[in-house]
Amino acid sequence: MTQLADLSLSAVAAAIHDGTVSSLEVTQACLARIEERQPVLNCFIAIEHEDALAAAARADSARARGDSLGPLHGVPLAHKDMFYRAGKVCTCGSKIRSDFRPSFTSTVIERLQAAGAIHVGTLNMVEFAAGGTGHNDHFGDCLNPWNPQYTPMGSSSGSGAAVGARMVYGALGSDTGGSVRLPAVASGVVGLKPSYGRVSRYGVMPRSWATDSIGPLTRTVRDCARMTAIIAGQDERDSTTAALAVPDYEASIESSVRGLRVGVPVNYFYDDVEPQIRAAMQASLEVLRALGAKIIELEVPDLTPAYELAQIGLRAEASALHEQWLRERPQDYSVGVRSELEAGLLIPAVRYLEGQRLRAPLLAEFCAKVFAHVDVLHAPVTEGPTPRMQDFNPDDPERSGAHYAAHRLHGFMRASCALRFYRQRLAGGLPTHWPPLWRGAFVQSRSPLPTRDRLARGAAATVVCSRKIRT
Amino acid sequence: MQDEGELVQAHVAHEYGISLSATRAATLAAQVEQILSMAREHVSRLSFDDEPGDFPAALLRERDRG
Repeated sequence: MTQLADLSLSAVAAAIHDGTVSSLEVTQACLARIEERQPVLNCFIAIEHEDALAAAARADSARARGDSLGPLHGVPLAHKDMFYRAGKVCTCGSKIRSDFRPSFTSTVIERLQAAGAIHVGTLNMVEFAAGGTGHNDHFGDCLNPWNPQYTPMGSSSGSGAAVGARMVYGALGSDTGGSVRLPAVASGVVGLKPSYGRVSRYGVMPRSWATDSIGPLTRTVRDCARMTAIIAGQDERDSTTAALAVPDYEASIESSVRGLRVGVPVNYFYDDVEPQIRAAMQASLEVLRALGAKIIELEVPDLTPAYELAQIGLRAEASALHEQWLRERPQDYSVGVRSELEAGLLIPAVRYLEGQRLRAPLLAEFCAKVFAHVDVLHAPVTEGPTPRMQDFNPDDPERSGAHYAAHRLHGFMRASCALRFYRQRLAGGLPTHWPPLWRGAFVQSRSPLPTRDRLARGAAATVVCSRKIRT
Repeated sequence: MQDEGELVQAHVAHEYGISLSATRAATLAAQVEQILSMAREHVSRLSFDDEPGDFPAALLRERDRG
């Protein structure tokens, strides 16, 4: 039965829809996989065994009655423990909110529920999403599903690891400075950080109002397209969401990439990249080239200002959020997280506002120099392969990674997936950067990436999109 | 004159009621000075009419330009 847990989200949704399997069978398979792997990986903060089985039984009854079925009918999911559900504990990975029960439900959870998804539990995360590894002093560290000696990265550590370990078919994470893209790379799954304004943040724990975004982690590009289409769109409860129609992302997923202009930066993104990551990136470009994409090298604007100004905004906003708890409950934070939060207390309002004022000019500059010439930008997420857990000091939240953080000020959509393994070390990932509020389509390469490892058999795929492909 | 760590310690205590050790305050002072010094370098890029609320409109503008 547990082989059911290995299917993709879209495959299992189709199987439930046509009656090949029941939601109850699928949910039992996932719970069995969770029971098997949770003791090692610690992906979950809470497992809602009975509620999940009851929901699956209701889903099967609905199908038997002939009810209209949503695109995720009866499919088990779980999410980073920062998405509010009315009356359910939402810890935010913290001691401070260990008994917090919100009175309302987040828009993205409502939309997934309306699509028929089943909730099997809440996933581990870095405390208050304030860090880039799988460490968590309060609920225990989450470990990498491919090798527990390695980090699953973060802060959406449990989301990447649970999907990679085939415990659930998809998960939501949040991305402020790389927290969807990094776990996607480390756990061998597909991760998407949508453009700022594309997905509602209502009812989601805030970390930085100006740069937070919500995105899915899935096993395939098609799954990612489906989840994104469900959660995207304007929400009157989140004034930052754009009043734009949501494209049918799945409709052109098998479209050709022929003629797609793929930009390859000759500066900045590769400054500190290790040779094996360069080689993997080059190999992925060769796949795109073979499929007819046009590879264009170009110089990108220096992203250092965007990175540094984003640091100011993030720190100031996070400190504003946490000031009361920093005063009243400092001992309830882990040392590294508290250190991260304290720095923002000293950011002057003038400097913070200067950073916010520069967002639009920096965005315009980047688009003029990059997206005027190419359809997507192809650049590495990380400088090197996934590190071991022991390589990080959890008391020091500062990590390298300007590559993935720099664009948070721009608000671009970005995606990533793992490229390959290197001697038991998970590789850095293949990301693509899209123009703002992109309206094209997900395209999944028909050819596997040029690797002989198991990722090529399903988890990894080339993700590109194009302005040329309108839906 | 107080050193920067002492200033940070006094400021955080006065403004936020948060107590920092002298060591922590000194570390924070160095961190924040580094961050702010980087930001100062970019101020000259601003024009008088740039405002924070431009960003969502800029996203839409760049999208439509495509």
